[in-house]
Amino acid sequence: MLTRRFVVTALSLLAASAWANEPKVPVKADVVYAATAPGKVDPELQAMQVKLAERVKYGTMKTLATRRLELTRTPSPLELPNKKTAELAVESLKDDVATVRVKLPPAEATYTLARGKSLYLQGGAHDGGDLWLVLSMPK
Amino acid sequence: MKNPARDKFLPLLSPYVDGELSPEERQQVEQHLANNKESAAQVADFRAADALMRHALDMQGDDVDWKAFTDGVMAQLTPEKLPLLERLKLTLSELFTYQRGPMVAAMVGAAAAIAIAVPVAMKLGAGLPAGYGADRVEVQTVSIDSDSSVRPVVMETDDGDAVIWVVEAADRDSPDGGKKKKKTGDSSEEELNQVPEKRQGDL
Amino acid sequence: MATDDLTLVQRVRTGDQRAFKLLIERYQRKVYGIAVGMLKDREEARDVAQEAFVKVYKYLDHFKGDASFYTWLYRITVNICIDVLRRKGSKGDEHLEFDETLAHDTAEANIGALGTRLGTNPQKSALRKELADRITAAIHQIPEAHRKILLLREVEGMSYEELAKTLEIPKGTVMSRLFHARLKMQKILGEYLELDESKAGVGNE
Repeated sequence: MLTRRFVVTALSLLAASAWANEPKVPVKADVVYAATAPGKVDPELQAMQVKLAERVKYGTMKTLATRRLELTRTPSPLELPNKKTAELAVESLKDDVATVRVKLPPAEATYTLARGKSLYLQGGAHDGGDLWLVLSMPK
Repeated sequence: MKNPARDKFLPLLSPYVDGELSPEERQQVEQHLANNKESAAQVADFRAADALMRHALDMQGDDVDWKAFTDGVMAQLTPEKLPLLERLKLTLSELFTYQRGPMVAAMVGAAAAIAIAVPVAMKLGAGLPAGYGADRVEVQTVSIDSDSSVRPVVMETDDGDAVIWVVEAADRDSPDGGKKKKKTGDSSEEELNQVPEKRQGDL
Repeated sequence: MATDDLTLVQRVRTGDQRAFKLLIERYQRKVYGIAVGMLKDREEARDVAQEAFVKVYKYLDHFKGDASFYTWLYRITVNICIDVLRRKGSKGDEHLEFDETLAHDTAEANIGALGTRLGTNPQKSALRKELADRITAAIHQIPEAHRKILLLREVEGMSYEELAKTLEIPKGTVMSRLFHARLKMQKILGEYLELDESKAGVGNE
């Protein structure tokens, strides 16, 4: 049970920082390497492999990096191993649903976040395979 | 060959190398070392082995992608693991941002603190609110740089994910035998052809 | 001037995750060094090293600041390593005392070989990767309890006082255990690097 003093203190902290501020939308970004050559698929990428198999059967998949970003309207950069830089930003926030803008040259897209769901964005060639940017909401 | 002096000093050689002897003990050991080649050699051995260990283990670190390592740890620091105060700030800020109307009105005075305390307590128990997340990922717009030769292909899967392929515009035949436009139970694929051309300068 | 650990910990407590990132970057190589010394599998060592940081973050509220941050961090690292070894069936410290007697007698054969052959301060640049791997393999031959204390001493340079706190053993035990650990290390390294009396006296390099 929260005491009165504790909540008042928290509220004054809030007034100083977050109240007037923009919302910060946490997003998890995974950079995944995928190649058609046969090899090892990281266990947590097996579901992704199945989804992509509709179009391309990848035989090797590996998570290269995982970042947790706090998105605001100002784009957050995310460097990829193939020298491209992705940019992510909050596009809008309406009725409790956040729309995110992701720019990964030459493509740019806006999409709505969904809890437990991911967006897979192809990010160019790298090292004999493709790079994918997987965006989801952290648990 | 057993040497009583050497035996006596032998266990002290290790703390000597570590600098953990008292000044008197250290002096005694140093005197002994000056007169005893075997003990001096033992000290040299200790120091060499230490250095080898240190360098070898440090070199193992050269094989690791440290940026990925740090990112990997940071990604595992989920909101539930935040200290209580930060969780509170996060939850309260969401309450205010997404439900401005009634909450703002209730803010006046200390009484408001109590009024807000109840929903916050409930929310903390439930974890992060489901706010700002829809049921499925919905791709709203996709655009490609006008000077690029690729085109986007968007797939929205049945279970709520979305995939944006970026393929060569001339690529009518994908690796697994042609572009398919099928509406099966698994996923639906659509191309967004009506996307406005985006020029470099528009960003 | 780098910010000290305790200040960073305070900042993390107020929600500054970036401060935790700085702590990770400060200690990651050493935590990994300890994990790699304890566990043979490099991937596993990396996972354990990450786990140690995640655990530290999770229990940050429990850290009282009465010991140094890295003492606590290393203790957690070593404990996770021990858990992993247990799960794999290692029996740990059972034969410790026996080992300590044995080590003492047999170390005599190679006295001076290492120090003479390599000089008392072998330069890191002189160490090729294969040699580093062989040395790491040698470390894995050392019994667990000896390995633990040697790693903490060598990787972090912890004082006997700190070692006593980290391992929760008396200072006298630290002293004797390190001594026996070193003898063991010397013997095994000598075998791994194929140094014997016939090669001793080649001269400093």
